[in-house]
Amino acid sequence: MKMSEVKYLYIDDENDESIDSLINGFNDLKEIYVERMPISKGLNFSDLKDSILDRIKSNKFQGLLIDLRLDGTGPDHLEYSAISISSELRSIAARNETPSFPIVLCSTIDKIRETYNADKTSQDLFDYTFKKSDDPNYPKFSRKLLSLVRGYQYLNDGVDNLELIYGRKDLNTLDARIFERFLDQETVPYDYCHFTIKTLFHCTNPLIKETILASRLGIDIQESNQSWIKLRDSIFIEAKYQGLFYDGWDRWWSDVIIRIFKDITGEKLSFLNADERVALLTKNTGIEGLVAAKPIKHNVSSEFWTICEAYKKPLDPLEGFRIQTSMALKPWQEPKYLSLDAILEQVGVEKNLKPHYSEKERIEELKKTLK
Amino acid sequence: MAVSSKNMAFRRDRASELRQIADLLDKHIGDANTYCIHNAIALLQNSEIIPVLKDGSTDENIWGYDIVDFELPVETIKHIKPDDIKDAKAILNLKLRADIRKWNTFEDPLIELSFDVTLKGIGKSVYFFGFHIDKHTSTTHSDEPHPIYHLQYNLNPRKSEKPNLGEIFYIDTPRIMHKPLDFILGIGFLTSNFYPTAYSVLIEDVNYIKLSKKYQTSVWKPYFHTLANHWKPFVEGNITWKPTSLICPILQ
Repeated sequence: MKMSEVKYLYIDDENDESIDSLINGFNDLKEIYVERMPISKGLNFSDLKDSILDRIKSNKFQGLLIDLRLDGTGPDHLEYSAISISSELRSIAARNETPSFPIVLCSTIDKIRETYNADKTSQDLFDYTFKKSDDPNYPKFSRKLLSLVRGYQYLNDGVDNLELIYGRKDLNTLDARIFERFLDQETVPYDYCHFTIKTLFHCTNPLIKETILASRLGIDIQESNQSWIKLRDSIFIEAKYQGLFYDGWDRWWSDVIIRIFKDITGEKLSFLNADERVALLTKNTGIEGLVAAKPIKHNVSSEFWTICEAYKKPLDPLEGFRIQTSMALKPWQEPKYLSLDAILEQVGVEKNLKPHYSEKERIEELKKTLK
Repeated sequence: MAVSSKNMAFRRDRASELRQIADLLDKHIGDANTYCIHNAIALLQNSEIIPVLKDGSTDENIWGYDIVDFELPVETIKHIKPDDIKDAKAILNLKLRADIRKWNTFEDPLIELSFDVTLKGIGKSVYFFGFHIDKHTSTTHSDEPHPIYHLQYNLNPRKSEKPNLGEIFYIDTPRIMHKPLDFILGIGFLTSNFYPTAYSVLIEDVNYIKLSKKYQTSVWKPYFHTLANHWKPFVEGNITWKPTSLICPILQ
């Protein structure tokens, strides 16, 4: 099968121009193809399930794109939601009655807030969620949806070797708790997919995202521009994650970054401030034009290790405020932070980024010192 | 060359003890990062990896681990200066190398030790202080004679070329005789000094007490017996300065 022929089956209770526009948004890019499955008002649960499974089993479609509230107000509305049908499809795949396949959720922001955010258990069902908006980022969504299909197919072919799946031969040098869930246990592809996206990609450690990578290296991404890309894609390319879904999500192995920095500079990354990190990188790599990041307003330390999730700018965790998260962190994961300025300016509130309740006293204390 | 099964059994036991202390920290101290401990455990359990000594040599009878950037919040900030410091943390970097054949004997249990602590405070500026508890080895040349295991303060842990020292006289501080500290005994030392709430919780946990006593026997017993033996012979009945916890609270 040509990769360009990856097809998602799309189910929505709406039936208007907005649906056509979403389908065309994907299809015009030619990365993946989206086709709406005709449904009629009141179609029963079992018939819908069978129709989806027939299309997946015959490999006419490799993934499912589904609107959250099938039981909404659309002309073709059903008696049940995406959550119940997806849950049933996951169970069937877990019993190996069909190949495993990606299920992607889309909906309007209001519906997601109302239903999905309130029902935490349902969040595990979907590989990816995007919001229907006026200007969807189709290139980004296409890349993720394509990567999901490739990843699922790779696992459906029977690969269950952790080192192959995560693209690293020395996984046994990392905290054993991270991957122990897969040892001596029956696993289905969905277990790996879910873990990879929700636990490895969405959290910090052992993988980090680009903004945190730049923070640790002390670099201002915008100011450094092409020099940053050169540094990232040459000197630190060895740290780039090459495992499952690598082509949909850019991540780097945190421990490898620290080792590469030590190898080329002889210094310990965490003990240097941004100016020192950048000076050492410039001197030892010969890459010109790298610009050191500056602390966010009200902050003084440039021993950056994380980012302010609201500003996406480098932050020393000692000056950050932990974010309230819906899931408890695993012991090996690092918290996510907000800067004081983002809290004062209420940046990120619309994305539900708010400080952990235990930080409230500290924030109040600091506010007093600013007056 | 892989490590022999006998030596691996020893290393697995030590790894298991590190896991126990990591679990205790996860259980009692929510804001301690135990990831770096588990990285050390992974290497200790890996029979393909033999720790390297300072001189670059390796020997399959050597065991050890590196704890990189273990962080604890500093709770004792009531006496600190400058006044503007709002938050502080202690960062431990520990390198330990030891000979399996000398563990639980009366010989020096360790070959190399570097227990390096940096304290970092943030207020209107970033402030640093540091100290280490090291083993002096013949490869580390020094003009001043000093105790083999010693504590030394470091007023410029970030090696700044132009440190802002105010009225502080920056000079090599004395190397003060100090008992050796591995990671497990080090947790008692760090929490009791910088995070007393955590220490008071840990010493109520019987598993921590057991673990601590085990390492006191392995690491401190040969050290103190050897020192006491300098003034031999002595009669046990003459030793009336009791209990030993008066001298050092952790010796319960």
